[in-house]
Amino acid sequence: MSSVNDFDCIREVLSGNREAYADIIRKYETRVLNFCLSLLGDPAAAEDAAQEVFVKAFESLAQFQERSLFSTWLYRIASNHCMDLLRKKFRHKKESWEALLEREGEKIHRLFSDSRGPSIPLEDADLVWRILSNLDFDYRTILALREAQGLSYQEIAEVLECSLDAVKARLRRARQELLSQLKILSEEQGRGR
Amino acid sequence: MSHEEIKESISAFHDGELSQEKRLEIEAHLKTCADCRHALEAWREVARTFFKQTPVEPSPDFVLKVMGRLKDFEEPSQPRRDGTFPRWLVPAMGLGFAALFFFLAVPEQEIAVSTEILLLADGREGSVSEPDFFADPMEKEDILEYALEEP
Repeated sequence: MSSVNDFDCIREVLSGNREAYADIIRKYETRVLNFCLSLLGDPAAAEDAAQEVFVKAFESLAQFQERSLFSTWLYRIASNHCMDLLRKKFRHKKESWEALLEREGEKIHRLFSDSRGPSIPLEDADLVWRILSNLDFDYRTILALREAQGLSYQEIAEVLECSLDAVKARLRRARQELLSQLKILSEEQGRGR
Repeated sequence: MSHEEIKESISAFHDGELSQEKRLEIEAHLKTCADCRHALEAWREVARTFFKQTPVEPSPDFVLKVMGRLKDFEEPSQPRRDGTFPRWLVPAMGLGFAALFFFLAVPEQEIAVSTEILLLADGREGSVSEPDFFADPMEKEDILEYALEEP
């Protein structure tokens, strides 16, 4: 379904055909769910959050301006909602790199030394999340949008409501931050052996 | 581009967000620069490990659950598409209400009692009685004299 059809579908919903919204949900449910999972790290919480995103989008549908893609508008709602959840509900506290290394040093080493297929075992997926959760929310969001969701810089700029230059700079800093933290983890783990 | 500039652009190169000219320049640089090659490879590995996981599928009743929750909401109405809402009306209406409030809230001014009224009221029933104002007869005389004096 192209973006033109998205707009048609939205107009249909706005004109009273509520069932047309089910088509929109079906089209974007997997993307929104996985984006929420990238930000929250918990599959059950991500499913609840994704449902809430679609409810919020429906509530605000009349305010959607057809100036951007509907998908980028949804991602923006999802990003804001997940940030609120992390702030209010989870009272999220970062696990220190040192504590993470102490507990999971072996696994972290194995994560990068094994040659794996596209699927990561569940316990390692959890570890990946715990490493990512130590990044700033902004960095995690932009990396998820780019690497996991495959959005272009222009689309990311629309989601985050910032300039292309800001997207470029923030992505570079996010990558540097993650790489440098992994390097520290790797060095610490090497010393501990 | 210098080595540092190219290293700064590795991220955008990885994302395929550079012009063809810059991309070719970086590709040529990567052939001779182990440092930049290593930076690119390091990120590719991290991206594979962290972000290329198999997508999670939503529960089978995901759509039904959301649609069920929408029953509590009214139909979203058609938005204004003409974009002609005069936004300046918002502060203007605010000012208007503030002015209205000011005029309604300010109490009526007390009417000042002029000397002339005092003189006319002197000794008449229902008017201001003499003892209230002129407890001292001498004071009354002084004030009357002052009031009747030619300018």
